[in-house]
Parts: sequence; C-alpha cells; structure tokens
Amino acid sequence: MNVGGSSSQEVDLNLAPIIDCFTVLITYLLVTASFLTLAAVDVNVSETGAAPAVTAGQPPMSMMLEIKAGGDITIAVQGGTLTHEIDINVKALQNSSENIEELESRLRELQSKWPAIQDASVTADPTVIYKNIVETIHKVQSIMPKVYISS
Amino acid sequence: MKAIKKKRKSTEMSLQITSMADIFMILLVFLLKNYATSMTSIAPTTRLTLPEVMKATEQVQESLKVEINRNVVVVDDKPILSLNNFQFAASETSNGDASPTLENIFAHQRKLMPVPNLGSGLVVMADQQTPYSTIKRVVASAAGAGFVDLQLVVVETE
Repeated sequence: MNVGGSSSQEVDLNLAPIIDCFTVLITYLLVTASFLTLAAVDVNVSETGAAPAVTAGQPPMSMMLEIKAGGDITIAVQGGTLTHEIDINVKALQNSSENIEELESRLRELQSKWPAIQDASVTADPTVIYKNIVETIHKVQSIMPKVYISS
Repeated sequence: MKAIKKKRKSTEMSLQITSMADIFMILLVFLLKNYATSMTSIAPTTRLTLPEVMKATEQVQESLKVEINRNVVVVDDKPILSLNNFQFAASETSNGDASPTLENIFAHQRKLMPVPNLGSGLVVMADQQTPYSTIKRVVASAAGAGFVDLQLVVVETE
C-alpha cells in the first residue's frame, strides 16, 4: 500500500485567469446594465370628431374622460338605454392634482351599474402634463379592458 | 544558502482564491440573468424623465420608437423635429392636428416595415412634463400613418 503516493499527484488548478475573465465580465455587465424597470401602458388611438358608426338599434355605451387643467376629471357616459348624457365631475385634490382614488371608485360604480361599458376614451386640456395623463390612463386601465387616447 | 532557501519556501504565501471565484460566479450569473431581461434596446437616447407608474404589467414590445423631450422629437433614434420648450414650430401647427413633417416620417417608416400596413405598434417615450397638446400632435401624426396601437413607456415602481 503506497498511501503517500497520492499526495504527489495533487493537481492545483490555476484560478487566476478565470478570476481575470470574471472581473472583466462583471465590470462590463455592471457598467452597461440598466437598473430601471421599464414597462408600458397600452392605449389605442381614437379619432376625435369621427362620425359614429351607423348601427341598428341602440348605440353602444361609451365613456369619455376629460382631464381639466386644474386637475378636475369629467366622466361622461352616453349611449345604450340612456336618454341623455351622464356627467360626473371628480374634483381635484387641494394641490391641484387629480384625485385618482375617487376616480377609481367612481369608475367602479359606473362599471357595476352598466357592465356594457367596456372601454373608455381619455382626452385632456392642452396644458395637462403627460405624467398626469399616464397616471389617469393607468388607473382607468385597471378597471376598463380597453382605453383610447384622443388624437 | 540552503538554510535561506528553506526559509523562503516556508514563508511563501498562496492566496486562496477559490471562494473569490465562487462569489464572482454568483455575481456573474445574477448579472447575466438581469441583463437578459433588461430592455436595453428601448433605453431612451435623449435626456428625458419618464413618468412613474406603480405595477405596470405590460412589457415593452419591439417596435418603432418615438421620443419626445423638451427640445426635440426623435423617431427611430434620429432627431426629426426641433421643439421649443415642448412647443412645435408654427409651420408644424398650421395643418390641423397633425405635424406634416412627422406624418411624412411615420408614413416612410411604415413603408420600411417588413410587412407594411400590418404592424401598427408605436413605442412612445415622452418626458413627464410634456403637455398634452404636443403628445396629441405626435399621436395624430402617427395615427395618420396607421400607427394606432401605442405603448406609453413608463418607469415601474414598487
């Protein structure tokens, strides 16, 4: 039995070049990596002023949201069995920003009352900033399957 | 001399880098995994602050990209139109809702698509301070050329 012989055959792996490669790769990845999580809010474009499609019977129910410059949001519902347009005003918060929480509860109320409403069209005053529009669209999208933006 | 040689051998130090290699391996796997899912191709080329939204679920699909910032509108990574503090020049606002230059560019881009008139997606990256009037003009120009499915790019927050 030559037990001592096994120690003489010990192989020492040279890890230095691997470490070098790893250092270069990690540095490259850290420099080029984007740590922002980008996502998207999907919307379709609807044409303002387009003639409504001619359909037999009642026109389909539609919802239109308008974001005002001061932060108020007007919700207008029309079509279906409604004889006249229903307008709901969601007042802005004290700092002139949109009251998104109230908007959500109003939209849920409307959808439970008229489940036929499946989409909403969003428009805004010319001075309303994109951030507020996206926030509103995102909230509407959590309730309505399809959201349009007016062009 | 022999004594000195022996002494030198005994003080030789070998750095134990196996654990370091392990750490590097874990780091590398983590970074590679994140790198694959990060959307580097849709990173904005111009300086703009994207709006933040909580829990946006949609992933950004590869498609024609338009960027709007305070000074310029960029289509497909090429600066197309100059803006003056988000406002279009008078020549671009005289023709209804759309901008003639942008409409031509979008129509040209549509012809360049592998299957023209099939893809209608447009990735919109706009600064969070952009007024609706500017967004509306860009959207109307894109819609005129058939890009009606918009993806508004946002930064997802927890």
